[in-house]
Amino acid sequence: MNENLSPALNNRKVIMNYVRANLAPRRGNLYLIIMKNILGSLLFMIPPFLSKYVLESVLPQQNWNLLLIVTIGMVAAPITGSMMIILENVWGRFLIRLSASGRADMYNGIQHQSMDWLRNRRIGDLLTRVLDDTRLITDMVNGHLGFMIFHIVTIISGSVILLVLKPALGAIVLLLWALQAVLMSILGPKVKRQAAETAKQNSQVSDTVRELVTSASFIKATGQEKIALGHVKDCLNQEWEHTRKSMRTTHLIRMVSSLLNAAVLVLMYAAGGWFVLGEQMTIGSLVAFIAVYNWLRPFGVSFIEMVLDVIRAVPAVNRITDICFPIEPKRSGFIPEEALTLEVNQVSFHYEDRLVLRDVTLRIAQGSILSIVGHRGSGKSTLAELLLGLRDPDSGYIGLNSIPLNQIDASWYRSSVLAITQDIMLRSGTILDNILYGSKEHDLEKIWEAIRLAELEEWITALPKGLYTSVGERAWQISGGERQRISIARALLRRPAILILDEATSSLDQRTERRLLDRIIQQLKGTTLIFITHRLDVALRSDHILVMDNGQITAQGTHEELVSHPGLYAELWSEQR
Amino acid sequence: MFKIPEWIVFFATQLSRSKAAFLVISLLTIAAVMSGAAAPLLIGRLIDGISLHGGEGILLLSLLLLGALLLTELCFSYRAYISAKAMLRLSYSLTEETLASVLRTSSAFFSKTPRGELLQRCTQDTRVIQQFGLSALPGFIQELLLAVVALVIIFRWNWQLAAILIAAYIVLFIPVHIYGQKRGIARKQLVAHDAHLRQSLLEKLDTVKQTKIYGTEQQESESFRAEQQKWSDLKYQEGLVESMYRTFPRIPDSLAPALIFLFAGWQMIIGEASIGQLVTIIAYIPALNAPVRSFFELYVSLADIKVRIHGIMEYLQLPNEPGRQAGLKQLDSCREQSISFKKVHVAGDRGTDLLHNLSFTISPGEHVAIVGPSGAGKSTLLKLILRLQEPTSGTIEIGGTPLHELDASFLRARIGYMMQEGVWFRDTLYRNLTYLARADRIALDAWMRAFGAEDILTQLPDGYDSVIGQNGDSLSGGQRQLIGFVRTMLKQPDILLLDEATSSLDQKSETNVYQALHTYASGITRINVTHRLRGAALADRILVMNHGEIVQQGTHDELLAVPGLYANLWQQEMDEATRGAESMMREGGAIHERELITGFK
Repeated sequence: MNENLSPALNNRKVIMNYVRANLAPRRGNLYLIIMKNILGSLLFMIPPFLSKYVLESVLPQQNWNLLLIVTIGMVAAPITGSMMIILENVWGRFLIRLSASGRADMYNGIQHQSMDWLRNRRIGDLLTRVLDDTRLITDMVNGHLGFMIFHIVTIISGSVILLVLKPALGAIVLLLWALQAVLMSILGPKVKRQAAETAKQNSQVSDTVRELVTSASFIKATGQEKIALGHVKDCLNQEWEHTRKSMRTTHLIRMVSSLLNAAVLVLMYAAGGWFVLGEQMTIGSLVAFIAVYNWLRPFGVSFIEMVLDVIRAVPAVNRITDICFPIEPKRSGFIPEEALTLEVNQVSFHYEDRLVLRDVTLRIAQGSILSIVGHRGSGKSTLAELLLGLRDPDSGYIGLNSIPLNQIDASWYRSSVLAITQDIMLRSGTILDNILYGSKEHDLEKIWEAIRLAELEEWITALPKGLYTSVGERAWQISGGERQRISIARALLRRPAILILDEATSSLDQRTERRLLDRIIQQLKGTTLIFITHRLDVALRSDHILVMDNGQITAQGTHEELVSHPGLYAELWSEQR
Repeated sequence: MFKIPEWIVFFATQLSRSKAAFLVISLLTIAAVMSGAAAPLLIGRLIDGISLHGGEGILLLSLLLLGALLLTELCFSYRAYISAKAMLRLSYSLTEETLASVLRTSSAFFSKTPRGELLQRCTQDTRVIQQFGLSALPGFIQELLLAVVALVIIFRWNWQLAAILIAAYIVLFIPVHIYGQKRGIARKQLVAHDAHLRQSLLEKLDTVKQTKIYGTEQQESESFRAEQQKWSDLKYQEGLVESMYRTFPRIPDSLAPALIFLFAGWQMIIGEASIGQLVTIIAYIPALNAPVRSFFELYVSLADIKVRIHGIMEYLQLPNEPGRQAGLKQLDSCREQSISFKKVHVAGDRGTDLLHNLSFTISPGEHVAIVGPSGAGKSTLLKLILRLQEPTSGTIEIGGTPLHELDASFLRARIGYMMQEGVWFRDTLYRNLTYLARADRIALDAWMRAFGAEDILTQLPDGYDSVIGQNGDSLSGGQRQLIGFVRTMLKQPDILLLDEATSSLDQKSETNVYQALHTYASGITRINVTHRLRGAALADRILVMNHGEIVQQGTHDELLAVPGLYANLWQQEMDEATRGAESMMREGGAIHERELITGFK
């Protein structure tokens, strides 16, 4: 539990610093917004007093000019008050901008989290937090809080007026506010808890629907529409259970509060009547008192609603805090000299109690071709992730030219060491967009060169829109082999010094695969190529082969050397024959 | 001619689904109005009792007043609760129906439509109608009636004043309309951008590993920031228009009493009205303004709903795919039935046929491999059997029934279809394996063993209960293909269609998979599209395709015996070892020129 606590605290600090750093320079705007709301509230109090003035003084005097001026004032005061909302918009614009940059920072923090953290989060949940929860807070801070100030000022000044008019009756109104405060303090925590639960359910629904639309083709192809929809329905039902509970609480609060209001009104009439009977008050001042109270009452009612809204927004703040991570400055460090030798020394790695890599040691000189072969689950892909710096080894050393990985300039390393992974990740957009991902290359000839290397030229030139063909959502409009070759072209365009190909050609037919491999090996002479594969075609083309089994390197050498000795490689080879 | 906009019709039909709630709400409204109307009368009597009768009977009157007020509030509260509940229910069914509708349309829809937009419309936009209270309409009608009564009373007292008031309201409607439209446009842009943001964030999070590998964190974050900035601008613009719009209801609030004071004051000054009349008229102002204010509210929420409903309707009105039309035959089984293609053509994008004049029959239980270079139309052929695609001409029959008479969903439920990349949910291995059909541990274990996938269980931290990551990414490509076989076979399909389903497996595992299928699923018709000929060689019959046509067919041995595409392909595959060895000899010098790697343990 403690482990969970400290990052949360850390995150809270991030938020507080962020808010402080960004709000402080805009203090002026905040004061202006507060002043606007106080002034606006006072302006709205003018018309009732003006009416009283008209009835008591202007009309009996039959002063036509004064009547005209007063009525204009009656119109102008509230409209001016309303128009000031526009000013509040202008003054509060920085708050929206702040929220926008806050969202961007949130995303930035998230993308810098570890692969394991990201793997364990539901994307739908992250979406809800980054987009919906922040919007809730933004709306709350921008406008809602100002309006609350407006209400507070109105309620306080109204209560003061009532107390001045008749202290005893005014006390009844104060009693009403006090009772409502008690009501909120009793049920408020429940509202908050239920809001948190509802938010969780909302995000569950969002993730379930995301899952459905992401896997829609699969669901359709397997005729599972009913089951998938049933799953969404279950989620909605669960959400309904929670939302209904929180709705019940909210409406209970509303009901009790309006019943309190009604009871206080009757109490006021009864007490007022008693005062009138006791000749402590005139009937006229009782009616006037109640008129002022009736004007005040709606503000009291909507204030309760606002407080409820604020309480309901609190869980959103927590949900956001959970995923606000400090952004660490990018690691800058050494840039190794040319002729890169990749060194791995006695590296071990655990994944959730399981030893995935044990004592792996290798050296790869620049420009050489290495194949890592072995059964699935032998730790090949994990080794690739370590080489890429996506994970850190539990023990051992990984480095380039004797510089440890964690001292090498991060952006240099990213642009020099690249991998083509098994899972092909393409985005909607055109073929060109995808090939140009992460590259600043503008030279069309260079782009075509990468395309030719990836065996895509024929296919692309045959397309009516060529490079500008849209690949569709997650590139679903094109076939697996084409997707794979686009991801290869994308990596080749960056001309990395070290390129890892993790089962990168599995979707290609053998002829294409061989052509592609031959070309890459021929054209990328200075590039270190690391193939992770179960296809021995690739191994044949390598300078050196590592055989991995159970997280260990069990044999290594050239094809000839390995084939001639009994062992895993010789077995794999004979299976493929 | 005036035509009721489609979205209003749609919205009204949706609302009419909660008839019971609507009825209760109307009854509650009537009760609330009646008890609410009693309250002022009782207050009058109370005041009279105090001022005229020395307090006689005020206790009873107070209690009656308390009762009336409490009843009113109770009715209103309960009305609000019922309304909120009904609208929530409605939003849920809308979500469900929209999703059901998009699932009924053709698969191509999902590759064309951004998922962010789908998510936005199906989860966020459907919720917006929640804010529309079911009580808004009866409430508005009630207020409107009261306002008419008030106007009639004012009219009878002074028709000029009534006319001025009506004119003022009508004039007021003009800016409301203009700003309402501006607001609509601003809102529409904001909603569209929201969908865009959702899409962009979804895509970024989906491919975050790629971002890490390419080190493009900064670009990603900058592009997201730019999109956010645009959001903040749109949000600001919308806020401005909204504020302007919200100012308008204030105008009648302040204008009406002012007009009445002005007019009645003038009348009093010239001696045509009394202060009593003025007080009466002013007492009617709230009644007069209430419907105006509700109208503004209604207009605002309807304008918002309109934007969203348009999007939802677009999805609801998507055409059903051909295989999901009403009245198609719902097949429960297609086991032991032959599949025949009769002169099937599928036209391609650019004049050339994807498939050309295909005719063949596959007998029940037969194992057929389809081989050929990429682009030969092999995958299209499988999609035709699943009705994921329709032939341009010709017919396909299963057990003598033309495919176009069969309901696609039932058909697909009976076919095991495996693609190169399966779809995996970020959930436990168990849920993933039993997604297509329920199964117990014994059946699971049996199939895992049969396909040689038990090692996956020992590798995962919690066996079947381990979460396998986003799209199964804690497993390797080969592992995913193996459990894909388990998942498909648990469904006990009648026909098995494999589209490069073993591409990520090593040779031993692939052979093992075919043997398992041969042993445990030999009654199932199997069609296997593959580019690995060693797997194809095990089939009862091999169809060789090229350029959308079947160019050869027969068993492996028959095909090898004649010169042709198959023999060529086979030769190429077999040559590899020798070629590889040769190339090493050839490039031997070159290898020495490269800096030699030194690997040691």
